[in-house]
Amino acid sequence: MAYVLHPTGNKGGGDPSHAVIQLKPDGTYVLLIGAMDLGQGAPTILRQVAADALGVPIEKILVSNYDNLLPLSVSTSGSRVTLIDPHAVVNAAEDLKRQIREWFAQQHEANPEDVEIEGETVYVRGDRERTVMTMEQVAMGAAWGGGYEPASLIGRGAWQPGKYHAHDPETGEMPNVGAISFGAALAEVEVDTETGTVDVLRFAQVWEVGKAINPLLVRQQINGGYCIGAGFALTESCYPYFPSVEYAPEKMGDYFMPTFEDYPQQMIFGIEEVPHPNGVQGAKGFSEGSASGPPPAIASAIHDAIGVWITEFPITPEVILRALEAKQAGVES
Amino acid sequence: MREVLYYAPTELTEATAILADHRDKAAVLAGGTDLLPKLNYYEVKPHALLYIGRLGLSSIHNGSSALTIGATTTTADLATHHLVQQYAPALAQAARLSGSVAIQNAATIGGNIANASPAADLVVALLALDASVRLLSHSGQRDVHLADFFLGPHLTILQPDELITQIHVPLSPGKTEFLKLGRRKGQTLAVVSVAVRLQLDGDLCHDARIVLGSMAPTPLRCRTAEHLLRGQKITTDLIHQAATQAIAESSPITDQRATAWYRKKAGEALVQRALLQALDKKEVRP
Repeated sequence: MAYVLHPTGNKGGGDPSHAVIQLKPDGTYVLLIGAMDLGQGAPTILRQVAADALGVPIEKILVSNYDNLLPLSVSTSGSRVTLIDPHAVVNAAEDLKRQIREWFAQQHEANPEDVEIEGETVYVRGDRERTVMTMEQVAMGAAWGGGYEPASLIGRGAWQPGKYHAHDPETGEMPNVGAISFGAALAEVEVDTETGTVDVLRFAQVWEVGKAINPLLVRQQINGGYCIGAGFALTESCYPYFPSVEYAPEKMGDYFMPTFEDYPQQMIFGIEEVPHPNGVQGAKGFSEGSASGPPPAIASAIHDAIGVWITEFPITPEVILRALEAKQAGVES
Repeated sequence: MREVLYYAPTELTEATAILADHRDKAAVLAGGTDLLPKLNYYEVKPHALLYIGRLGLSSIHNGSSALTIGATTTTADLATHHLVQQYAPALAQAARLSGSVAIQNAATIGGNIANASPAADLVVALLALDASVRLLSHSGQRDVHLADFFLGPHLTILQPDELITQIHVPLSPGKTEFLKLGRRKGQTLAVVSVAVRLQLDGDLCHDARIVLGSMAPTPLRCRTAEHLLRGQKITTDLIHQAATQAIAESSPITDQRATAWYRKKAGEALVQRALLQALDKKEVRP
């Protein structure tokens, strides 16, 4: 069993993300953000956040995050995207709504504060019947002008978890302006004491993620994290057997990542949600932490099975057999 | 880069003529799973590629005394074909454990033999089954026991003008097993593999085959270990002796997959298991 604390975002602060949301002439939105998708689903959750912030169906939002011309999101790293980028998206959505209110007020000779945006319907409070427009009509009017004033309705947003503070040189302390996610991992293994092979029969991981913006993606992160962690624990090494360059892998085929057949027969998932004050709707990142649980959990399950603590990764079949021999020799002497 | 000629004949006579014309400058292409990486890394630089996938050599037939398997029969076909499953289950098992599904769909039995890897999965099973290969050239054909075919890692008696056309697997009674140990369960090369065949006469072992993969410069028949079992009553003790003897006959190397130490240790356990499990298997009856 293993317990994991995983910091999400830069603990000392700094580390901002930026977002732009543009209202297109047909009443749809384009979210421009630099958060790269490494397979973790960043564009999916940021699209969800934008849809929530604008009060529109997710289908109305297109995400572009595959270009270096896009607004900066410092990096897809440190499990920071889910904690930080949603703030930039929400801020961009609020900025866009402010611009829509101003434009709408100008067209109807009203105060921006009196303009109500209800999802895809816009009107002046107290004068709804005369002024009501769909967002598509607003978008078309602002884009094409004609009988209306043209306007570029483009919202901008930036956010960082506090200004950067260096750690205290004396104590090493720094303010925790990011967030920490908590995980637990449990492994059940079968060790073949004649060949040294380790078979992970069942594996359970539970993660406290603040708020699972997309529970399926959280589950897939846990799943993928298992594969990364199990490879580190059991098979992957630059020098599989010796600290010698002579046996270094030369091709991808020499590098032993686990395959589907190595996957446990049973995988148990758990998601806990305790909203975090620094996250949009309480959400924080956790993904890399899900790769941290499997190695110690598997190592401690191996200890439970054969009574030997193995403290180096990967725990190859040879490492197991040599550990068993050493144990046997110790018993005999 | 030099241009490489590409041939895809539909007649065997055409194919052997092309081989004869190009002498040792032609490379035979079937599934390409071993050849293409070698071409990509410039380990081989042929003047001509001879594709043999159109020669009608992808078939499995049941004769009176042997299974005849065409050289371009794929590993996937071997794993799933009812004749192989019925008469050569160890070969079907070796095929099933070989490479990925994509590799199995492309790789051929002839290629696995010609490539002559010490770790070749199919070859280990075929040696336990006393298989032979038919070699065809423009000047004639010959049948060679697979046990006499390999000279060393990626070295065989195959002449530059010869083509493997068929593999013959004798239909003989026996209980067989194929086991393989890799660095992971799927898509893995053998750290050590074992194929065994036991021909039993009541309690007595009439004849035995014990073959090791990745344990010597070529897939290895452990003849002294086999001899230990011949004519004897099979006991757990005898099986342990045979396994120890089989490993004594091997000469594994240390490479990126395992050390020689590990191969010997795990290999002994694997031979024991293969023999014990073979005893529990249904006997193949021709």
